[in-house]
Amino acid sequence: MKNKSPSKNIESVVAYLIPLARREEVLGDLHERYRGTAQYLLDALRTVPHVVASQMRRATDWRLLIFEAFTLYVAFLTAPAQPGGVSLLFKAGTLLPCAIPTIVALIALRIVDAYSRAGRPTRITQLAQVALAVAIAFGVEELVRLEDASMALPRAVLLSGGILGLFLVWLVRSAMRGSGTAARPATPSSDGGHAMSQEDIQRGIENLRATVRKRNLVGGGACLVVALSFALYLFLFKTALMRIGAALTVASALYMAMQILLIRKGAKTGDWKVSDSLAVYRAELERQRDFHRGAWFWSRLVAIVPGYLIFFAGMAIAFPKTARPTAGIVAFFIFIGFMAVRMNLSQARNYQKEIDRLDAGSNFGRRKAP
Amino acid sequence: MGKANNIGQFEQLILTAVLALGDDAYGVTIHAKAEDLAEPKDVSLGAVYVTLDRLEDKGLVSSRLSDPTPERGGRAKRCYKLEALGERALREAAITARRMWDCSVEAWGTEWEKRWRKQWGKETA
Repeated sequence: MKNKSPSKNIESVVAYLIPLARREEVLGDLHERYRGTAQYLLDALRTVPHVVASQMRRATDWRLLIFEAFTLYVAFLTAPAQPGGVSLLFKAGTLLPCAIPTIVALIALRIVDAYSRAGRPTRITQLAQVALAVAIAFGVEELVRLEDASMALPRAVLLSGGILGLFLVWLVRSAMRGSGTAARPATPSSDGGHAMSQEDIQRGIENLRATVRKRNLVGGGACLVVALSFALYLFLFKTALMRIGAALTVASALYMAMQILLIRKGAKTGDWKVSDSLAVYRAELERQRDFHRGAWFWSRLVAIVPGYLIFFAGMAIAFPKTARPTAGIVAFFIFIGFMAVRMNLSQARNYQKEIDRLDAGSNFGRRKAP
Repeated sequence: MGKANNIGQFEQLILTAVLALGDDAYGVTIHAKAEDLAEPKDVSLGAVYVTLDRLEDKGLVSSRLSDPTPERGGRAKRCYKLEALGERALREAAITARRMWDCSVEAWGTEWEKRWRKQWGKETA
């Protein structure tokens, strides 16, 4: 008698290839269409790549992808071949070799994301995911080296750039993914708002603080890296323009760190009463909103732009061979600047929405009691 | 018309299949219906999944997992439902197709129309 269902082993292999988010229904559909092993395998072979590609698209956060691309590319481009050595940025014909491991790692990350479980992965899981993607990029680089050594990065650059890229991408992913700001609203109130219980509000405050703490850590770390790097450039490069640019950049990074420490972190509120929790939550949300818009935000942007531009202009003049890659990096910085503006304003809007929701549910703040 | 309603021919096909199947719209049945509608062209199951995902992202259809059934090896179905936005998009696509038909008849004449209607009659018989 002919078996009416696929073999368990084959089904397990196919199940393993289907992203978790789609496994249940796709396996069921393939099972239902089963007419024989060959047909089942052919069906799976024709269907699974589509499902993976679609899941990759759905799991892709385009802003995160752009930041990852930039981070990885710059990591490979600026990584020195030896301690204290010169990076590939100062050598001709290195733009394409740096792009190969970047693209491979990005594709690997998208595949990893497509197969990930729903929800926010832990930091260790995120680190492991990025490490896997970088390891795949290393493997592909070795294959490229076998085919055409001139297109492959030197192993030392690959290693130092890969490690730097791994940690930077991990930081970027930790900061940008799953940025929930508040507790989910509980019960809709009669006026269309949401009545939030004390527990909801306290959970909202804790979530908000955890998110802000994490972002402060990443932001503060980034400021420190920028300040230290450009402080080093201050001594490494002898041209006046580059030194002025480096000094301005160090100052702007310190200004940004000051904002994070003094404004975003805010006052300690450990001694607030439970009855004050709504006011505390609202004040925290307002502080975070103001960090992402208005004078504080625009002053950060204005502070950081001139230093970078002067530094890279100085670099292009001092090292004419690097003028083209430098122009590319400046263009990318400008693009990242636009993205940062959009992201910050969008974040500010999200905080405002949360404040509005809070007000609608509690008749708090702008809303007056009848 | 908003971006969400800007749908391609294959998306129209899948939306029509979801509409026609009603409560029984899930991967296998949608694929079978789409193959009927697209005849003589082949439609792959993978392409149906990709399109359903895209339509769901655009808010034209919604989905839910049903209870597992033994004939599917104890796996659940993902059932799809046409949303109001999807219905509107499909209606607009049908009106456009109708206008295209009228325009073609006007250009190629009633003989051509009769020949095609006869051909469709044979196909549906």
